[in-house]
Amino acid sequence: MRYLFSILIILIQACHLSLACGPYDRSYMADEYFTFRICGEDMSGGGVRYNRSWREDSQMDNCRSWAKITSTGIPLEDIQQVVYHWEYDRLEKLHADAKIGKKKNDNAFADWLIRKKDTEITSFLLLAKKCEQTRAKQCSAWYYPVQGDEENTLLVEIVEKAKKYKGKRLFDRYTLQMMRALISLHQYNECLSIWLSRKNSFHKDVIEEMAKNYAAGAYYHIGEIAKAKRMFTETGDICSYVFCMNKEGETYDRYDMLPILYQRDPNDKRLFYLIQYMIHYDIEGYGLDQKHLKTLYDFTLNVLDEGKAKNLAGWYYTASYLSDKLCDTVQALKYIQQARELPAGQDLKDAIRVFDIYLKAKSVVKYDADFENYLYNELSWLDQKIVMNLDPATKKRIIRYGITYRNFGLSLYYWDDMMRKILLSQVVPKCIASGHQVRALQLLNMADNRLFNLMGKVYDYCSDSIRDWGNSQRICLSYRSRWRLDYFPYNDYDYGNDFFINLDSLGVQHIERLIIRMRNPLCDFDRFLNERSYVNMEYFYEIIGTQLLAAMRYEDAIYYLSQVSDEFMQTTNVSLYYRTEPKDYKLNFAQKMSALEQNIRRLKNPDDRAECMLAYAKELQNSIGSNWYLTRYYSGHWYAYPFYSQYQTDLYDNAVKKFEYIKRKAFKTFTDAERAAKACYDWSLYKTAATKYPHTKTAEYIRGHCDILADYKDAPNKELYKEFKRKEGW
Amino acid sequence: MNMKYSFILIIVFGMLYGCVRQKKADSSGAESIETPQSKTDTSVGVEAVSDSLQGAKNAIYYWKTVFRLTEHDRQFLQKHHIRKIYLRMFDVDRVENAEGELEVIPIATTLFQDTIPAGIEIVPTVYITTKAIRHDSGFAELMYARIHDMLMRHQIWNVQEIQVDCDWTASTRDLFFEFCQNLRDMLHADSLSLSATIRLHQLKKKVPPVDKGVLMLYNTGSFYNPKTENSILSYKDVEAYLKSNVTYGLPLDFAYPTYSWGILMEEKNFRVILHEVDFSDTLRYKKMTGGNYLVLQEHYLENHHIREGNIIRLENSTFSEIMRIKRLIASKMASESGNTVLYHLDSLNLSMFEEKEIKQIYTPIP
Repeated sequence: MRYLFSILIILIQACHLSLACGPYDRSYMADEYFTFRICGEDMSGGGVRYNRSWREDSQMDNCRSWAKITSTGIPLEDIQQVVYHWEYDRLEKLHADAKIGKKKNDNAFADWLIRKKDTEITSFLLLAKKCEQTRAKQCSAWYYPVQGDEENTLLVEIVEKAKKYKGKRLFDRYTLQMMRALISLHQYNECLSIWLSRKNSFHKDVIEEMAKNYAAGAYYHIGEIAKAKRMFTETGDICSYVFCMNKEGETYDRYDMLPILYQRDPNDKRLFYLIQYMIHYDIEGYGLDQKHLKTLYDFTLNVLDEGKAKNLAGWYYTASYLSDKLCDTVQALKYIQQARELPAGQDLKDAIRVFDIYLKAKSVVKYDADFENYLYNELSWLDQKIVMNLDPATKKRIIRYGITYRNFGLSLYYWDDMMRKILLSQVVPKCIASGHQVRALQLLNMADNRLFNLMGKVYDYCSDSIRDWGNSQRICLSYRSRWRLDYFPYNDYDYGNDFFINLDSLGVQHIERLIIRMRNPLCDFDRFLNERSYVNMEYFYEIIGTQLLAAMRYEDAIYYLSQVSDEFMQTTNVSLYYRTEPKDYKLNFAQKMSALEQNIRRLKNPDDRAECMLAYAKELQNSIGSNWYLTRYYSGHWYAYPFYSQYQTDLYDNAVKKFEYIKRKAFKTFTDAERAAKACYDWSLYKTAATKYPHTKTAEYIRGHCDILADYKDAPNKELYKEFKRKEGW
Repeated sequence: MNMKYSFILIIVFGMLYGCVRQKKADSSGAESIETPQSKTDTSVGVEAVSDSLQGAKNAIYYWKTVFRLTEHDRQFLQKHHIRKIYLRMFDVDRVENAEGELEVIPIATTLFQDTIPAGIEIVPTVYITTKAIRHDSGFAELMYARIHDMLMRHQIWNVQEIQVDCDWTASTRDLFFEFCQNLRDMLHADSLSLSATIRLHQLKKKVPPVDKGVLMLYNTGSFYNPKTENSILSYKDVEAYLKSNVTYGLPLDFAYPTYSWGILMEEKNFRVILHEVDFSDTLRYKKMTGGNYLVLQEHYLENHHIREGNIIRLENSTFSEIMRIKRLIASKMASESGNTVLYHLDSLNLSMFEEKEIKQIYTPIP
């Protein structure tokens, strides 16, 4: 009983240790991937926070305006480069070149200015850039305003210089710079006077709107908030409008922008940008905010009720997504069905189809043949998308975060994310619940390995670089794995992903069937999945062998482990634990245990058999204790273990039971008191040895050293035992 | 005739004063003499030496977020011949900027609502968190520019030194020292000197690259520890660092606390520091042993919920404890300048001391 208690204590500690020793868990669960995709590839609705105009892209409109006064033949991107991205030094050089008018420039806009010797524009660009730089300095947290400081002086100079401009071409632009500088100088009255005196000379374009925003800002500062708010709604600067509302004590946030935008124009493109942004950050990113979720849902339903908006597919898609988030999958399915039937751009159509697959998988009760047919069709389509959209930038990202750092579970690529989300969060659990474990493993294999197979790259830890697999087996080693255990790489991906977790928890018989199915596909879907899976048989043999070791089926384990090379063994996630001398790879262990089993059966002498049984028990104990890496891939219990499985726990419990049984039986088998006492000594059963076998040399020794060989000692003192052997001549 | 005698008297006093100061400088130990010598090439070095020859300067810290002197403050400065105020300008921390990104930026900038009394030297002081220095030690220029702008804006002209306050440890030492080195180079170019606060635990460590230091003889214990009797000032805590004579590689001034606070403890755990507890309110607080007060009634104070049964530990800096430590310092630390600085200018706290006690704290121990 006492020993059982000791084992229990060790087990409890092992469980604690497992938190630190277990494999890395997935960074993200598949269900957490961002799904809502109504606009923008990055699905962030980016830019909307800083968009201060009704215009879709004020920056490009400004470039168009530049083209109008220079040449419409100049690509807008070249204008954008010079106007928005060139630094002051470069503009200074452009100005100098424009003065001479000779040098050629790769940028079409710059080249045009040089050729035309248009120093009127280049001087303006210098002034505008200086104004922008100075204002940026003032926005720094380190800035402390001082009357007459460099920033103020520069801004005053900018105002003076702008005032001196008497031309017509850039009059509105100079006025805008002047107003900007005056706002930064807190000269709101002067700013408004300039606006009032010059507003009629503005062309009705983006520059006028920008200037109007500054005028509205000046109105706000002098306390004419109603006027400021009106002007902000006219220009479309909803952010500033909301700012004014908040300053007035109203609790306005970006959710309040939606009705404002909608009332002015039900088809304002910013509506979807905002919704994308809100869903991305507030709902998908930072957990479910029920209040905002409901606000957004009500707003969406209102838009659908009124029927004023044109892009109804987008609105139904949004309603479907929000409905599902509000736990009404039935309604979500209805909305997505309506969305599918409405016209939409290709990107939106694809997003709607993805969400439709997700909802169908979510709502299906049972994984059956009908659903499999549907899934095969949709998975084929998704897979095509994965292949087709794998552009160089995405590949680069996958190599960096997916392959080099092996940050598994991380969102790498929308199409792969969606495939994983649908399979891992919806299809696989139903497949397992419906009793199709092998199919579940096939789907998991594709979900976790499709992208890496497609990339065909591997991290080479020797050269710390990425290389093609070529003809070699794919073995996942990562830079990340070097963070542990003396910078030796080991494979943490293949032993930490969803596929592995299920291989490790469903039962060895399912893996055995899986490899048969991989070798002999039964249908097209099998072949489809195989082609997109990890098919290195050594990987599967090694896992089967390990589970057979844990199940104490050593003969069977030898069959599988003998097909695994030493080189492959070096790439498992526990390879660093193996001793090389004497070699204790799993195969050696299996052979040792199998030989002991045979000996137990073969030996006639009860004492020989008893000693053999104890040796077997000790090895068995070690295989689930100090040498746990022989029977599992993590020490103790892994917290990421699936809730539905008792498999590994049962394997462990059975091993503990068998070890106890064998040990007990062995001690009962002894007939030679001296050998029995020696065995007791070896197992730290000092008291038993001394009392049960009192007339043995061992008992005599124990009595002579009872002060140190107390029965309560956890383990025998090996050094002392060596000394004991030497002195007594054993 | 009177004028003539006065003139002679001034000369005699001047000579006597010079002799005394010279003698003190001679006896201040080899290392402390070396430091100013190593700076004689720079104008700041000359200034630092001449400063030490001018005699003790009574000084005080001003550590509030709003600079506004009460009548009591002004009288205190005048009465005790305070010639130097270490004025906190802002803190530097790593916090979220306007875009929500973590950045090392100035925070809690002091709001100036008053002017500096004439004749008082100001030492602009900046508290730098270790979090800031760990992530970015390259803000010396920005910081100096900001201090400069603040001084210009508020017309603070009498400035010869800037002080940085940072609780650096082994892990942040090199970064902080690099920062000091950069800042000192900039200040020297403008004939200004750099000083740093020195905490007791830093005494035995490498000396920061600054021109002088102020040894902080307050916050000597940990207020998190329920066993601490007085985290503000404890002879026992200070003595532990001064077991033997200490010769520090910088001229040091010494800062003593003149404040008190209440440490609110709940179930032996630290909760918060309270500054406005009225311990005379016997309906709310019951005096217990060791400066502890038992909360009798739940109430709100300084936006904190004070629950019945909580313990508030009154910690203060008593005159006797300050003088004990002052004597300990005089016996263990040979310092060239050794001015006394009080922490900090707060009429409520200073009113706990008698005028003569303050005078005595400021008086150097021979």
